[in-house]
Amino acid sequence: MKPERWGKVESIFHKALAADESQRGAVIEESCGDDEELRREVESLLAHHSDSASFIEKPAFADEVTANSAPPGAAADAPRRDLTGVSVGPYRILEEIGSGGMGQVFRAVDTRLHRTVAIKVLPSTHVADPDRKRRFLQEARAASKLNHPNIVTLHDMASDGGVDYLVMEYVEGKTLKELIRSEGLPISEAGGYAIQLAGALAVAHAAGLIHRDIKPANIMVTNDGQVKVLDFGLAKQLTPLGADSLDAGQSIPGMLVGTVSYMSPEQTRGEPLDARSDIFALGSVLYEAVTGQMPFRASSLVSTMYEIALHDPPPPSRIQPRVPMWLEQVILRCLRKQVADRYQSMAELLEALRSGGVGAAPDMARASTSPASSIAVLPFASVTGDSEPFGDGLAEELIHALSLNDDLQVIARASAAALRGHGLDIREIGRRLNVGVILDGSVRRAGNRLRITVQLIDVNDGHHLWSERYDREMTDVFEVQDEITAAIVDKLRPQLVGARPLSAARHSEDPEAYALYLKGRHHWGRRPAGTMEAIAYFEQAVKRDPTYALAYAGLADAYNTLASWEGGLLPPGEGFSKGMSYAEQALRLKPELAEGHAALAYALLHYRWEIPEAERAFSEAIRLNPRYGPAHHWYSHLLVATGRMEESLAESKIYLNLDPADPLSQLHLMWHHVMAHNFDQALCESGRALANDPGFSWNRIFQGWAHLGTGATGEAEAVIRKGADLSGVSVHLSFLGHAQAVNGNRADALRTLERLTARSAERYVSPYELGLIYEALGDHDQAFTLLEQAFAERSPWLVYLAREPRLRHLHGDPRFDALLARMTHDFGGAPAGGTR
Amino acid sequence: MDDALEHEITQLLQAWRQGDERALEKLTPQVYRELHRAARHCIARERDGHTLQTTALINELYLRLSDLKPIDWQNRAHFFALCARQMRRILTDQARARRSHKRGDGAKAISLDDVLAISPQPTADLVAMDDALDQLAKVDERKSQVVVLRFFGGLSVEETGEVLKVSPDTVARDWRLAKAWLRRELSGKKSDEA
Repeated sequence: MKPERWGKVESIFHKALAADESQRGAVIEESCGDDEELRREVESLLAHHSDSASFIEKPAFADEVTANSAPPGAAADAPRRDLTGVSVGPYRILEEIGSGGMGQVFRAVDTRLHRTVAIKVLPSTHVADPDRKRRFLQEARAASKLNHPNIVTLHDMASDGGVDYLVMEYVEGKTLKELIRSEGLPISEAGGYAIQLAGALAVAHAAGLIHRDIKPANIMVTNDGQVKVLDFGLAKQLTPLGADSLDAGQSIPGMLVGTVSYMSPEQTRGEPLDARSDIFALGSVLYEAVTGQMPFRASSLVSTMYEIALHDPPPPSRIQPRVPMWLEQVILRCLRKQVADRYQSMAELLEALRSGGVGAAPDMARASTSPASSIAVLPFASVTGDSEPFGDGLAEELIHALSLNDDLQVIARASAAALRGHGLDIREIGRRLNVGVILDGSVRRAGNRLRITVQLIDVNDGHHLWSERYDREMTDVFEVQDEITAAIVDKLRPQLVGARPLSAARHSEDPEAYALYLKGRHHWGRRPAGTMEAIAYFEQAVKRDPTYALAYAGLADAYNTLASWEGGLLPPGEGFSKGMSYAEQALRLKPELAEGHAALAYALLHYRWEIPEAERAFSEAIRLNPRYGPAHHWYSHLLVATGRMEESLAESKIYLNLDPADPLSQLHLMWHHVMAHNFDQALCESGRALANDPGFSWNRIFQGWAHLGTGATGEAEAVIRKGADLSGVSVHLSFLGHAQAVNGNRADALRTLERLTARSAERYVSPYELGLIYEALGDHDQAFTLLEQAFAERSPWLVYLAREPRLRHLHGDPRFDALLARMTHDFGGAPAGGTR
Repeated sequence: MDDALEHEITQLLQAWRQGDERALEKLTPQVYRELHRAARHCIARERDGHTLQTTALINELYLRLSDLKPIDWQNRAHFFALCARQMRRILTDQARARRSHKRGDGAKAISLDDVLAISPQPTADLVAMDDALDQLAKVDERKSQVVVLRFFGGLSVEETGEVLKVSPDTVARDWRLAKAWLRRELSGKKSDEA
């Protein structure tokens, strides 16, 4: 047929189809005129169109992905049997309750035991082959031995009149697929299911059984919230996954390729599976449970597989902001492409889920009606002429008092503070922090008078559980704190022993000193920027009360910060000496002060380079208060310095879990990944951190650091420039000059170097920071001269010498090795940065 | 994959990327050969079965191709197009082999037929479909491509549009007409054979 004629056929065909059926004849008549052949062609095509509705609509290989979008029944080509009322063996079938790729399922009654059971009738083709059937039996037998409350029990397997069937525990409830709503489930609920699921799978894995087909449709949830995993041990035999041979030439109508969407990458490749494939699938299920969306979903089999094989799913929090960071990390780790990058066992995953604090028992999973045991304390609003946020510190003290109750999970201050600024309502804040209740309040101070109002709010329904107003003298402040703590504990957990009233013991008896301390902590929380103000308040506090241990610890922290963070506003000798002596002072006054031990350890690590002593001090701090975030944060620094990256990651995560929305905890995780040379991971974290806090200059600097690691020098320079524009401290300029130089912008780098050198005339600039620019400019002699100076003055960042990616070009230079050897010597035997 | 073959495939892929459609024609048998080898390899590896899933084949295909460093496989359209072509070849070859096996003239070598256990379409249909598609290509190349992508590749209307650089509406129209055309063609073929 000539193209122009075919074009005519085509246009008339579509025109006729577009027309109303009764008008079609007229349309053809008009369009074809007396061209009889054209008319026959169009009419014959239209005739075949009318019976081609379902023709080749299913791909040449059937798959559930496309079948899902087809009308119901389209995929179920398998012969369906109406067995209602029929007796199979001792079972009388009552009604069909479902059907799928693995056959029909019925509710039935066991006439001997008078109990309700579920019966699954297997498609005959699946068990026709004796060899196949034998293996199927073997697997089913193994599965039937699994005795776990979260696994559906397999009672029996039998055959009657050529019908093979399984008899299972009948579970009343809904599948997770039916329960998941488009916006996802509440975190506590989804987490509760995940823990039960992981517990069941851990038991099965220990028995050597892999499920292979974990998906929401295979997970039942009973009416009281108990998870029941279906089809254990059946997946291997009943789906083509790793399937056995079917007779060549035998076509299986409606045979499905399985639910591709939940497959692990190795599963789509038909590779041998192990427990880690179930971990991937659990990650997919949990992803969907909290976001309402499948992690990998495309409009066809091929593109879904393409997504599974190649792309990381969007972070769950981008779809559903209430997903907490720790849970997001757990989910994404399950979904890693390489099995070795996932959790290595269900037990490990279970531990991660539990330590995240989601409900463990079924009734916990449904905590929506009872006050949960997790609480966030928002910084108290100050409704007073007193401009300093006294209320912020007061909230922190309440957090501390509440933390002493082991049964209560308390979200740390900075996380709550970070969210408060976002103008979110309280229930939304609660959801984001994944807590059951929130304590909100305000404080008004006029002279010596103090008015504190507090309210305890249930996040789930916004209901006020309790509220109170206290009008007191400033001198009674600890008493009020203890009263508030006791009241909260009373409301949340009647069975709790009660909060230990430790406020007074921790603090100065002088309320004014206490108020000054609280203000100091507030500013230190905004370090490095707020460090100078923090010092001013802490100094006033110890001036009023020279025995105030916590205020000395505050001073120690602030001076440590000055000697390191800002690239040293103070030379290390000056800053750290003060830091150490204040820490020692704090510990003399109160030997059991976690804050004091942690501050001392920080200086021991970064200034004295006494690794074993520092490690002992960190351990002591963590022992005294396992919930003190900075102790975990800085201990991770020590672990990086000694090359113990796995441990460092664990500590970083503890820090992050204690204080998930604190910009510093996110920044620290980024730092860890840069030091571990996991630059892609660092970039991934930086995206998250920037999304949370785009104005925090360090986020950009560290992002640029990661780019430098990957060799993306252009990106590195661009983002570091943005960071440096936000806050031009010396460290930022050092990063900028370095990035400019490695990116080939030598002239710019030299200008930055000049700027930094000029600054060093006015105030202290670390030779280490200058050395990094010379190194990038290729002036290794000058770089080593400066590094030697940094060594001589004990610059804090030298402890990471071996791991600093910016110094890679010096590796192999004997001067570098010599410097490293001297560092190692000073480390008291511990290796500097481990192997590099 | 051996170096010579890899080099050849790489060159063809590059030519294809630069718009040489004939390169795709040459590429298909090369990749197929490679895939076939992969299939044998998988059978050798798996003691406990003799089948290779369609999904496994597609992914194997992807993995082989992604070894080719210079090629940016983030280009979904190319990946889909190549997959669909491979699927057509695999499935119709399988059907042809099966038919000749039935007639008793098939050599008993391992073919993809033995390893691919997935073909819900009756054997004869796929062979006839393959022939009919060749005929359709002569009348209207794009419509035949639409069918290859949709039916063999399993792509959605939108994805098909992405590959062919036409709107989803156009794909839907092509699909409608191609189906009617093929239906007619195949109903004729079927009665011939009967």
